[in-house]
Amino acid sequence: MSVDFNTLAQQFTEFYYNQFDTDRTQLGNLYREQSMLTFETTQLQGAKDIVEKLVSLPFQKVGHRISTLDAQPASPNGDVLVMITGDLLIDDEQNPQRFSQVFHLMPEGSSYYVFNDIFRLNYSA
Amino acid sequence: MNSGFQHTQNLGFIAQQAAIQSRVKVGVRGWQNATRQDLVNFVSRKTRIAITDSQVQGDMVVGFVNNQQDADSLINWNGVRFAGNALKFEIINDNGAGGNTGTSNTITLLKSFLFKRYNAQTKMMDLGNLRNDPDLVTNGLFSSTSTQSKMFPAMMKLASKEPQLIVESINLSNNNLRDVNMISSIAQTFPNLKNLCLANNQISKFRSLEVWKGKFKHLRELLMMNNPVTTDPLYRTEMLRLFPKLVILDNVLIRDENKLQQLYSIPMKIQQFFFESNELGQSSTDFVTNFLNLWDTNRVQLMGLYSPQSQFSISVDSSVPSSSVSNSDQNPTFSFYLPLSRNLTKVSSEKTKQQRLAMGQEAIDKLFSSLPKSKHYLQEQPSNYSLEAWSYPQVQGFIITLHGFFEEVDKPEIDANKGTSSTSGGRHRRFNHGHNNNSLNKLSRRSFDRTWIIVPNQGNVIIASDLFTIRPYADGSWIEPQQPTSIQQTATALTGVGNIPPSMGVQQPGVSPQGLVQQGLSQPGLQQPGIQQSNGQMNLQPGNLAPPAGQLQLPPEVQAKLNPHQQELLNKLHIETKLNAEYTYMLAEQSGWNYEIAIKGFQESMNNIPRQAFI
Repeated sequence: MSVDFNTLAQQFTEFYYNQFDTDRTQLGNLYREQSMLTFETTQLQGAKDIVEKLVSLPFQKVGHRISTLDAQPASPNGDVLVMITGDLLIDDEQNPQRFSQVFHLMPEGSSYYVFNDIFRLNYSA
Repeated sequence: MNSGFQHTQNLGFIAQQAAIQSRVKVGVRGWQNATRQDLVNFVSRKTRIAITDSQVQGDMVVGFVNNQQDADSLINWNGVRFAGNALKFEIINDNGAGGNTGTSNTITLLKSFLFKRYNAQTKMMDLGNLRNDPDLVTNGLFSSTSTQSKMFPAMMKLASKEPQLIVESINLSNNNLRDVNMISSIAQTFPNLKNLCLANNQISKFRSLEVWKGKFKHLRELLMMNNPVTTDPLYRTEMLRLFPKLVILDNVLIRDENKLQQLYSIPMKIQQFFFESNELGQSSTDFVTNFLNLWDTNRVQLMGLYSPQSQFSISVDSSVPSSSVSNSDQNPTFSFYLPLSRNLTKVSSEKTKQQRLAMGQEAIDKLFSSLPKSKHYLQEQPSNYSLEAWSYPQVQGFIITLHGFFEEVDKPEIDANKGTSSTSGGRHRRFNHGHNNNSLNKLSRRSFDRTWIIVPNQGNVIIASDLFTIRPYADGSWIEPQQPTSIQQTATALTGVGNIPPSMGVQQPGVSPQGLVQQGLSQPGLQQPGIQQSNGQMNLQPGNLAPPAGQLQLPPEVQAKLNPHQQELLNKLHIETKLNAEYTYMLAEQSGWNYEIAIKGFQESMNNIPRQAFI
């Protein structure tokens, strides 16, 4: 495989959460019209709706702390499945929420976009 | 156990086979005034010649007599009166049309040979010991390797044109086969073969069987005794891999047939995934249920779902939950898992990353065996599991993510901390100190997240990817007790700001307390009318779904079966179409609970909808 999916997964994850935590209004570039976000029980399609949803989340300050990251090639077409677990630190709350998230990344030219994004809170402190 | 080869040990059967080899096919015309059985009885009485395996073909009754002599005698009875008609007998050579005489003779010979070796009762084609068959030897067929390699495929081609040959079992024993190249075409001719005997050959390499991988989708029994390959330690695993439905190998039961049946009963109506929303939800639940069942009882049986390209990896989230998390494991140990964990935030060595990604059945099976034996409680405690399924249209497959917990019930078959494993390099080494200390190997309850990519493969399904994250046990957020709330309130709660801090969207009014909620359908229109419907324990409490005033009112028994997505869809449709409750429900149901399809269907058939259907 020309693209090392491990490196891709790591770089993507780092970029995504960094962007999310600093300015999540800019995440739209990572999604396309056909992209889907499944956020707990809500489903949204399209970059615009997805970003709207993410921006509307009821917190100001947010930080993601990654505990695990694993990735596998999802098909011979070069798409990659990334599974993450970690802590979500919201505002000044001391006890983090624990989340898991799956990204299905699709190649597009020389870069990738998020085809599917499934976010799930596993438990809250 | 119903073995297709139980007869091979039976002398009577061998005698019968010998008799079949010399029998001759005959046809009878002019019998139509009575039944086939009457005719056979009459011929037997009158001529003392028995016609066996008879069947009606067009205007003829076709069957077999014991030998050429009987056939010749029968011809002499031409014109004998039966039920008011003169009977006409003929010997059928099943001659192929056209061709030169030599080819034509060969075709005739091969065809008659096939019928000679075929037993319609047992649906068995006995192609054992071909090189010693007198007919074939006399005619120089199968005398050398080169003629054999031509004749066998030719014979299979002929067989495929004979609809009478209903073959469930093939015996290819005693043919000196070194591989299956010569006979590989049986997979094309008899794709539904159930029993195959390759005993007493010289097959020595798995590789030579690879041409049959995924070909025999119904092969249930395989006999390979007295082949060098059977002594290979990987023999059983490889056979399980090559033949996904194999149940009996060399007279030994190797798979649980009932479980296998369940596993493969996943409806894979691929086209419907985008329209028939029930399919994906139901098949995902079925898949997960069956998968976990086998995972807990006999993991090797899952190998039929993996291919040589399939991948499996685990990662360990060893961070201890906050002490304020109810029922959480505050002292977790992961010594069984850590040497296997592929957590990319911890593993830096490229070599380790590669090693810990199991690819192909052999590696996956080994990794499965290195994980503690477990028990999931999906049936008993469905509220502790959460499932998301979404379609993956690029490969016509789907992806399932499951969250939940399992109980470790026994240590793994293979302890990754012991033995020759020097591969657990990288930074995980430091977690492994004292791994022989029993207290670190205690069995406990774990939480997990697991994601599967499932793709169709020649009528079955294959798990292309399998990602498994193991975490210290903690009660899942999706089981938090909820106040009954309306659908509309749900919508605002999820998008609203600040009203439920700091737990964000954790509070899911209207969807708890059922646990195995179908969540993540990513295509519009794939909203699932409730995985919970498949499980009596997961019914919604009616109170959760009481529609706000002014919304669509359905009978309580219908209402009780709806999930929030369906309720929402009904309300939307109701407002848009002005149809009454009954017709709105019908429209939604017929559309597969897809809003776009429903509206389209509504617009197309608007003129045919009766007036009373509207409010």
